[in-house]
Amino acid sequence: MPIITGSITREGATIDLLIEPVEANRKRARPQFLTGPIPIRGVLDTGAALTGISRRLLLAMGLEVIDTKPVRTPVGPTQIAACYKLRSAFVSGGTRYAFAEAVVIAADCFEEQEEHQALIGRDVLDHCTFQYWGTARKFQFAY
Amino acid sequence: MSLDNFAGVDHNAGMSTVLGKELETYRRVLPGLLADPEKVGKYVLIRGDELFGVYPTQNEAIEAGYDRFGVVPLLAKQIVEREEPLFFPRMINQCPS
Repeated sequence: MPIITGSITREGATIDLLIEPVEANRKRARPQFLTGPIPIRGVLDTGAALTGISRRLLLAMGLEVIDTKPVRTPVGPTQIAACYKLRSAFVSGGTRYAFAEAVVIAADCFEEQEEHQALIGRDVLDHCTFQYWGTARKFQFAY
Repeated sequence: MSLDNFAGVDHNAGMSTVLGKELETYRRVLPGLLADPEKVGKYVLIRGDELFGVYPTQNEAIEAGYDRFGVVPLLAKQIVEREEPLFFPRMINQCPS
């Protein structure tokens, strides 16, 4: 069982990820798109029911929407979010820990210069044991 | 890469725009799909106003769609009676400037 330890930064429980297109996209990859793996930084968020990734990155990978989900956000009425499928792996201590294929929603509110480009939600955390050591500014999760 | 380069629908912009036509089709065919217990929980492949098949997994529905249409926006949706809204703590649309 992989055990991943990370730091709690000003942004929260921050973790490095690699994302790449799923096989269905990769074998039909068009040359102008990134076929990954693309390193990004995400924040684990127990308040998010879903995982959301910067739309900019999803588009750069040449992914197309494959589903929709009704989503409530802090502002406004329920919206329909575009869903994309990708593969992801966590990276900790220089080691890559394959996770799985995941369906994520596209989110626009990650600024390009922002340190993190993803919120990792309970769709992922529900498969993990997650410990948050606030006083030590560390977290650990295992899956 | 600018979002304007994306040739698909206006994602996340509202109920009527993200795969709007496909969702309309899904809502239209859903009662018939739910009436067949063998189809409940499986995945439909919808493009535009046509349903192209029911598949055991979402990956199979996506593969079938890409084989047929290439890598384009399509709906590979699980057949369920009702989808409850899920919470995401950030805005999913373009941030106001």
